[in-house]
Order: sequence, then structure tokens, then C-alpha cells
Amino acid sequence: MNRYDLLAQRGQDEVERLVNVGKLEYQHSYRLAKTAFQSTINESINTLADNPEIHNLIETQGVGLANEVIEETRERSVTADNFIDDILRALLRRPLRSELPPPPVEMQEKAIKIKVTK
Amino acid sequence: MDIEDNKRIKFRPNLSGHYAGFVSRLIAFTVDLLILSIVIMFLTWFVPTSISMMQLRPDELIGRHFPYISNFFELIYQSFTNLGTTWGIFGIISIILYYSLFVSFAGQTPGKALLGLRIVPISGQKISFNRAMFRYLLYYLSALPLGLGFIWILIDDRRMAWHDKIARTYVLYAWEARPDEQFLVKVISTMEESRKKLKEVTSKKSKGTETDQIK
Repeated sequence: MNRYDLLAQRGQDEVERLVNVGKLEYQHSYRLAKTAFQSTINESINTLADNPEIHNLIETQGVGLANEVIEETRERSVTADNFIDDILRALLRRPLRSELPPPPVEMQEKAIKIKVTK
Repeated sequence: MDIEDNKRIKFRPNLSGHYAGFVSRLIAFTVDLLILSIVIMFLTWFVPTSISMMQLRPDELIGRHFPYISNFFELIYQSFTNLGTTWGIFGIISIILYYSLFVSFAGQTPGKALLGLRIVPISGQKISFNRAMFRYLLYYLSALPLGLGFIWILIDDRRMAWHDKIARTYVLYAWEARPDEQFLVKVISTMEESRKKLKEVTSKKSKGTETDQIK
């Protein structure tokens, strides 16, 4: 083996060493980043879970949203009730719902469980 | 903007305590059906699974002491571990109990409570368990002639279905029933648009046939 080959061999070894170091460092950095990321996420989740203000906010927002959805459904169903009723009554040539008398006041009171003003 | 909103709210009719309509009642019924189906599905899975997991054999246990009735308990055990029979038993019992208990205690089922409806007897007295059960069984009468008994809500002046008429009950809005005007405007505008489109299409077609005839 001449001097040139020895030099090339040394260079090759050095390159291989550097490649191996790079591979190891990549694995280390990946593990480090993963650990840091996980700990940060866990910490932030714990902070959010322990914070009473956030608890309160989620509760009120959830209840508010549910109430809004229920109210909207009720309003739309009442609209649909009247709309279909009016169309059908017009087709059957019956008096419109608005022209008909409402239920007796006692019944209304029973339904809403409060006093109705006449 | 605020003044307009106030005006709109002021003129919105409050139908609180009035007869509840078909759509509200249909949605409430659907909600009840959904709740019931979830409960029944859970029960039909839970009961046979728990019996087979715990390896409970009441027939063997009782059969040792009372051999003459062990066959009866074996039959019960087999029925409870059989999905079809359990479905039948729990289904029927839970549906009847669901409607009768909720109506007799609160005057409304969870579905009706969600939609803000309440069942009020014409007599003014509190609705009893038996009457609530009777009213529920009358649902089948309303459903029998292709649901005509339910559709009767649309025709009747007091929005009473057949089961309401026989059980002598009203179904009334138990909340400040306000119609959503914006939704109504949307529905009417979409209907008008579709009507216009239909007119355009028919006029184009008629023009096309006229030109064909001239040619």
C-alpha cells in the first residue's frame, strides 16, 4: 500500500466517523426535542386543566352554546309549525290559526306554571 | 340597528301556553326515540353480557333446592342471555315506563322538555301514571291508519292528535314560543326563488315548443 492509498484510507475513515457521529447526533437531538416537546405539552395541559378561570370559561361557553342551540331549534320549530299550519289551513279553506281562540287561561297557566295576564 | 332590533322583538308574537304544532311535536318525538334507542341498546348489551361474565346460573343455584321449578329458571336464564328476547322484554318495558313516568311526574318527556312542550289534561287535574300509560298506548291507534292520527294535529283547531282527543289532553308550548322571523324570511325567499326558476324553465320550454311548431 503506497502513501497515497494510506492517505485516502484515513480520509475515508474520517468521513465514515463523521457520518456515524452525524447519525448519532441526529438520534440524540430527536430524542431531546421529543422529550422537550412532550414535557412542554404536558405542562401546558396541566396549567390549562388546573386553571379555574379556564374551567369557568369552558363551562359557561358550553352551557351558553347549548342554550343557544336549543333556543334556535325551538324558535325554528315554532316557525315551521305556523308555516305548515297556515299553508294547510289555506288549502283546506279553514280559518287561520291566528283567527282561532287560544287555550283557556287556566290551561296556559298550567303549561307555563306562571300566572298569565288576560 | 338597536332600535330596529327592539322593534322586531316587540312585535314578535309570544305563543306561550298556546297549542303546540306538528313540527315541534315531531322533533320532540324523534328526540325521545333517539334517547330510548340508546338506552335500549345499552340494556340489551349490558344485561346478557354481565350475566354471562359473572357466570350467574340462577337455574342451577335454585334447582338444587327446588328441583321442580328449575326448568322455569333455566328458561328465564336462557331468555336473558338471548339478545332477541332481552330486546323484546327491555324494549317494551322501558318504552312504556319512559313515557308513563316522565309524563305523570313532569308532564313532559325529555324530548318535549327540550322543545319546551307540556302535556296538560283538559280536566285540569294532574296526569296520573295510568292515564299517561293509556295515552302512550293510544299512540299506536294514531299510528295505525298510516299515521293519520298524528297528522290530525295539522287539521284540528286545537292541534289535538287522536290520542290527545281520547286521553283528553292538550300539548301546549311551555316557553315563550317566539317564531324565528329571519328563518321564515329565508324559507319564503328560497321558495319564491325556486318558483321563479320553475316559471323560467316552463316558459323556456313552451317557447321552444312554439318555435318547433312554427318551423
